[in-house]
Amino acid sequence: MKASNDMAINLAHSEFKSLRAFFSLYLALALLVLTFIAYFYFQYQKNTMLFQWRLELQLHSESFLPKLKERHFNFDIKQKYPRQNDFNTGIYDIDKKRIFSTLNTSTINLNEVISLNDGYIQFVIQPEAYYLGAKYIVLEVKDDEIWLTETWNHIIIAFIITFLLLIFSGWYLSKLFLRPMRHAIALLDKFIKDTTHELNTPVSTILSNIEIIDQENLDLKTKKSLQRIDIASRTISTLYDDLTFLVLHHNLLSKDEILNISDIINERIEYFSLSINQKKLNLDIDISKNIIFTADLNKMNRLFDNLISNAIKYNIVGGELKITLQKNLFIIENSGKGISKEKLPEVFSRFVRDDTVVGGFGIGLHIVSKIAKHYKINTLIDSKPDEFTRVILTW
Amino acid sequence: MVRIIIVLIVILTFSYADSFQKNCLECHDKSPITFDKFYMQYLIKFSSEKRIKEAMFYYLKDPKIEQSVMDVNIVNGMGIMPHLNLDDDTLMKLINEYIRRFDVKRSLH
Repeated sequence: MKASNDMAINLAHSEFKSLRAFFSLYLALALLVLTFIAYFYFQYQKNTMLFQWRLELQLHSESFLPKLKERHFNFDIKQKYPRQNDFNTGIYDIDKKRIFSTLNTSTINLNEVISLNDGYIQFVIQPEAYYLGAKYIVLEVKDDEIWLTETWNHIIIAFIITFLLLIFSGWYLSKLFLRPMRHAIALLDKFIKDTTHELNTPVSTILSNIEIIDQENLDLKTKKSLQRIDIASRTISTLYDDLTFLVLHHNLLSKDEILNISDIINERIEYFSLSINQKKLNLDIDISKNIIFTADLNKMNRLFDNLISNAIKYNIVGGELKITLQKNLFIIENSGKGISKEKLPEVFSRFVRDDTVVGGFGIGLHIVSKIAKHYKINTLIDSKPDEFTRVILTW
Repeated sequence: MVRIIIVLIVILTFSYADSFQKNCLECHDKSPITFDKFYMQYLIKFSSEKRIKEAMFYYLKDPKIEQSVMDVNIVNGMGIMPHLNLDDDTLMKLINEYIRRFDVKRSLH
């Protein structure tokens, strides 16, 4: 199985995922905090502006009040409302009903001493007596909004600068934060690569040497021992092929080509023939000739190896093993303990095993489902405890 | 039918006007303090139309020096007004008429 020289574990992908999650949360929080600060700064600037106007409008009210008082006591002579040039006024009774007004805005808040409504600054005073019935006198001036423009400019500039600083510092912090993970992943990657390489070599040596031994001249006992060694070595080889596929599959150089599935299945049955004979299984094969499929040869080997090895592993001694291949259909059925109904939906998940008595990592069917999904092959598993297990592939 | 309604309105208006003349203006027109001044006193003390009506009604039901809005010396000088002995409904209508004539909101410009 060929792999690229990249890291075994997809570090860039892992790192990107962690970075993205951290950065999204970090930026969201930063935005929230900055928004709060901007809001409070805005309110502070607004209150400062209103306070300054309050002092000025207080002075204006001291010139207006005597006129209102004079109008009240001479109402029989003069009914004209006292108007001012530099500000507008309105008078309201104790029930907050309007008596008279020259105000520009209809939005009045008589509960606030000074407020900003619809672009107008309003100042409310309560005279010592209800002249012309007025409990509330509102003085109004137009807001020139110079303070507003300046405030927004300050907020925008500070926001941009602070946000950029936060992005750079966040980026640096996240790199710092990920450094231990990078180091650990690099170590793990080296371990996986070394392990697969170091273990593959002796296993290949064992298998190749078994093949060149002249078994015809061996006594029966030795022959049987040799067969057991052969089966065990092939099992290790298959296990590590699966592990390698599982860990390195994103880096494996995949080459899809037109394959004769019928020949592949026959080869794989031959490969597992020792194990089949050891368990004295009744093999029933119905393989149509020249069934063609376009895929990577190694992946197809992985797929059928796992199905066949599972069917042998979880079978009973002297049990049945039936393999069918037709156009767009592959069925493998074995007798044995079967899979419980509860575990059936999860068998294609990684490391899930129904039967932990027989050895294995629980990755075989996971690999089958990954490859099948890649080539859009439908998988169906059916089982009856203590009777059979059947896997059906259709494409 | 419309004519009858118009005639009734005119009669009622004149009857109220007549009642106001008889129960209020007959005395107050002769008073040294003009009638509108009483309203301005109520205004400066009670502010809203609703409160002014309540205060006036309360006073007119049972006129007493301590409930008058005018200065004590003025009341003592003029004398407290007599009981009107009118039903509540008529009293209220007279008050409404008074306010209608002297309400500042109508005159302010």
